[in-house]
Amino acid sequence: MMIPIRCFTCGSLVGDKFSTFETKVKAGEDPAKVLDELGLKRYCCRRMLISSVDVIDQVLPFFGKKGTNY
Amino acid sequence: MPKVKLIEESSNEVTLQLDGIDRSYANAVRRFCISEVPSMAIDDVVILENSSVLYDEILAHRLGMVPIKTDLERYILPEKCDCGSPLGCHKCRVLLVLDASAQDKQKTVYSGDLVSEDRDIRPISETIPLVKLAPGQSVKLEAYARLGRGKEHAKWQPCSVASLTDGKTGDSFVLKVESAGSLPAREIVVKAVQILEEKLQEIQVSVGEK
Repeated sequence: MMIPIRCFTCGSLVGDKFSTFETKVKAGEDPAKVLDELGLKRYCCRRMLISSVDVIDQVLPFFGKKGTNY
Repeated sequence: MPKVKLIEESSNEVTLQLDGIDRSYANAVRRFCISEVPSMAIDDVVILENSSVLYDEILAHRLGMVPIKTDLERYILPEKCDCGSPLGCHKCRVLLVLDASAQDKQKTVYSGDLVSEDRDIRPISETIPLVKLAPGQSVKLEAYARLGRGKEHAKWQPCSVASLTDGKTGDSFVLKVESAGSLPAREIVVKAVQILEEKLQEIQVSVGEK
């Protein structure tokens, strides 16, 4: 649904780096370079960002008007 | 003669060379870094309102994973506290409150929106996304953070990497500890040795040597 907060394997914090990663990669930067800049050096942490899809963004448009959502 | 040499240190990573120390003792220190050194994490969550698309359980689990700055001097483990209260007292828990709602635009709720009753005990990063809210949705909750150990749940594990590799000679080892953020790497190692020492003394007492 949303980016996991910690790396599944080693437990280091990855949640706060996803939005930077997403915007930079969408702007055309090399994912490997962005991950290096973010300080993710192990492949367990790197795959967390590479493989994450925020499905919540596809769900949210169907919720909205006050009182109609649950 | 046992010798410890500091090879490299930053706030979240420390590399030590251990000479003249038994492999089993060095490995015990490494394992204690992972599973015995306490750190702070949210454990109990009282959800007052949650109209977001995430279930209460998922939201509570996400909150639990947030690394929280830890002060081992001021807080004690709940099992060592004499308050006996299920939610703890000021010595063994910290209350964090979250009250967020999206008005007419979509909104992301961040770890920085958590308001802690203790200024020093708060998430290590302000920009961890917890949940996204559609217009009209809101989240209101009370979260209780407490000290815990990695052996109980991985969220209390203070380090992400703790490795022991062979050094140049037979009885030389390299211990590398990388902090997950709640405690400085150096403090994790020092605390691990302290706890190991306490446990060894307990054994000596229980077999009647002291």
